[in-house]
Amino acid sequence: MKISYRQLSIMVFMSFIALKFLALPSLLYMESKNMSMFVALALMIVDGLYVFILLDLMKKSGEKNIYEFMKSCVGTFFTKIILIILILKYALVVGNISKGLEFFVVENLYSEYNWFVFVLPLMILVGFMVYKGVRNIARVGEIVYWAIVIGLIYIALKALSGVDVLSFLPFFKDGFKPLVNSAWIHLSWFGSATFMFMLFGFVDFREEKKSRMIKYIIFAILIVQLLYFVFYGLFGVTCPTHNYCISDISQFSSTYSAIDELSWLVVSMWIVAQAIQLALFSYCIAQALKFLFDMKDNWIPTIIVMLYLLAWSFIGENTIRMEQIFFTPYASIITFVAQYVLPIILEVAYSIKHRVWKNKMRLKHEKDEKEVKINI
Amino acid sequence: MKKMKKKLKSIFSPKKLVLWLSILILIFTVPAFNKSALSQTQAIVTMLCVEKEEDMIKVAATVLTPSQDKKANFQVYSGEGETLGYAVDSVSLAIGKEMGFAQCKIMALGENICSQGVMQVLDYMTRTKKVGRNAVLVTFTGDVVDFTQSVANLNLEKSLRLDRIVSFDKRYILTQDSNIETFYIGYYSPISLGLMPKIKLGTSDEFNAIEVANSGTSSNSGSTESTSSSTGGEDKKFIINDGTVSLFRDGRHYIDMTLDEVKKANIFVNDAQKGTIVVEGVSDHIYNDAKVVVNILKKDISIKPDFKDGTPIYKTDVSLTVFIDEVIEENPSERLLRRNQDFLTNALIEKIKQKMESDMREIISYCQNNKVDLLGVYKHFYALKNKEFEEYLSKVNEENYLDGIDYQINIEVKSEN
Repeated sequence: MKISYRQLSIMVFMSFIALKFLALPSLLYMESKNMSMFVALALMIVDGLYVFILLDLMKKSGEKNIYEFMKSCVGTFFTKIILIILILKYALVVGNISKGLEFFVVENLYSEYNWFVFVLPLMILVGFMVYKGVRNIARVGEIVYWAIVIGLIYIALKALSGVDVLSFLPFFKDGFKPLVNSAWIHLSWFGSATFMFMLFGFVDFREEKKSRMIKYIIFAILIVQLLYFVFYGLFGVTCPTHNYCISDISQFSSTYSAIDELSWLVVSMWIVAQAIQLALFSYCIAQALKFLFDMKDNWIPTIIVMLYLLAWSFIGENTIRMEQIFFTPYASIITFVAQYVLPIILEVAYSIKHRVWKNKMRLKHEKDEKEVKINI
Repeated sequence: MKKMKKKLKSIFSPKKLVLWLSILILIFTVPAFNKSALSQTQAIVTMLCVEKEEDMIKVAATVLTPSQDKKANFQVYSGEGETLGYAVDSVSLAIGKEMGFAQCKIMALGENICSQGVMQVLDYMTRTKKVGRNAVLVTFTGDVVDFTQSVANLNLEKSLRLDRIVSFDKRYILTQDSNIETFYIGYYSPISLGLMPKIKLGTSDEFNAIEVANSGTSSNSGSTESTSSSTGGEDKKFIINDGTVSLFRDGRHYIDMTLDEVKKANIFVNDAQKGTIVVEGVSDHIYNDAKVVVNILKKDISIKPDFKDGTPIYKTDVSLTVFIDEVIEENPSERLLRRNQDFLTNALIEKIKQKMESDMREIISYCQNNKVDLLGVYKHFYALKNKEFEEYLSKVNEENYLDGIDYQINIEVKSEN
């Protein structure tokens, strides 16, 4: 069963915003200070461009899935290596979303509850969605899309009047080095479009409109930039102490009104978006495992993914610090290779292979013509 | 293997959705049966007051106890300890409940703790005890328990909430929101400045005082007995909010600003939109040596920092839309009765301008003498003329950077019509 081009666009939109509204803005601020918005903007634009490279590859693959396509381009051995790199990238994203959600829920919403009360149903939900396939995830994304968009815009606009524009000035005071450094350190929070690798052969391009994808990407970038503008403008120098961007913006007010209560509803919708992303990237892990070990059915990779999700719950702040996983050069290298190098390699490999195939066909054609002439 | 596969397939079949849903409901509801009501284990703190007396930290907390009769039921508990943590724990031990600060909307800090530094208190309360960063901050005078009790009674007797009073102040008196977040932003800024309204606890009826009952250190103020028992003079207390604002530098109490000083400063910052200007001796075809009170309806301030021959120029363009509020004169002219004319005459505009210029001079000399940057001069130069300003700072003593700046003001006064 294939997903429509619109559903793919919405999934791209969701993946662009998913990891951006918890700890990332505060972490960016530590490195790149008031220019953090530009770091996010630059990386999201690059991510947006790579979406189109991946779309191009998807179309070239036709009905082939990623495994068949890569195998035809780079051979079985390299295909398996690429799959391992992709699994690592997906595993990073799943871990990041899972831990982010855990800290957010436990610290902000239900401090009295054990996280396992949440992770068990979440694990079952993700398992169900992974088992059922990408079409279900895409449909859920489609249903909640507008609720999430309206909610995020509402949160941003509600706090907009408190923004201090002067806190963004002067621009680029310390040059571009801290920005490049910040971009590299936090690279693993970006490159979300990598999920598209696992959708090769699953997208129906009959209703393709390039402008639609461009609109969704621009919209995602604008929403992220709007919320970052509000976040940095509101909190300024205290940004590093705000680990929960979305809830901290929504709660920034010392006046009380009934409408403030709506903010938590909006934040809850955003949690749904996180759950969809968790399912999507878990699905990607399951697919990659399926291809890697040549599994015929979904159930073993589904169980592996569920156990992986559960395992994250045992890794608490006391055992290991999140920084040791997500902000290491290894995490950045994995993301860099998965998101920015692999599509280029595949494009080059495909064009070389295509040229070789064309040459072969031409030679064969010439040979056939010669043979025909000799026969005559 | 095949059997297991079949079994798992059946587990995830859509027909089993109802079963899964039931399991989910059970997961969430069964643990709840096993738990006692949150109000039995946690005290919902709505206000916390902290003060230091003789090397001991004293705290008093207003605790809200939910009741079925829709009446708010506040109780005040106090405790002390060598550190703030010990003091808070001593309250927990006394009442047998954990202190929950998620609903704590007001933090009041006593004079002693303010002079010694409040950042440790705020850090502990926000990081460890999870007090929201939007909790209103005030300083107070008087005994910590009396103050807490009086504020709780203020709410119950008069339906007046201190956090709302302070939020209202923001429009007229304060130049910014007074909460933990804005205090942090001020503290971590290069000028390390913070403002908090000062609420006094008096025993005699003074200007702006609100009378409240003071019914002991631990009381159930929701009941009629305690709220109406304030008949004896010694039980009476007065909450006084006279517009005094405590100014903090490096997290310590530095100086108190009077209402008049804060009002003057407010004219030149964008945050406070309301205000009044009083001018005297206005004489022209309408006014006859009149005293005129002008209400500010709208204010637009544009600040343009600049440098001329290495001298920083702080240029402020103020555009005021005003309304003539009161006209006080001995023999009012009959022209004042005419409705269809503009009372904002040139003579009055000139007087307003003169008054504002003199106010600005006064507030600048106040800032220079006390070395406090109330107008945000540093912030504007740093943001808009960064290179030149850093050069300027390297030449002067950074403490006295306000002294070498040329302040210019350009005022435009418009009528609401």
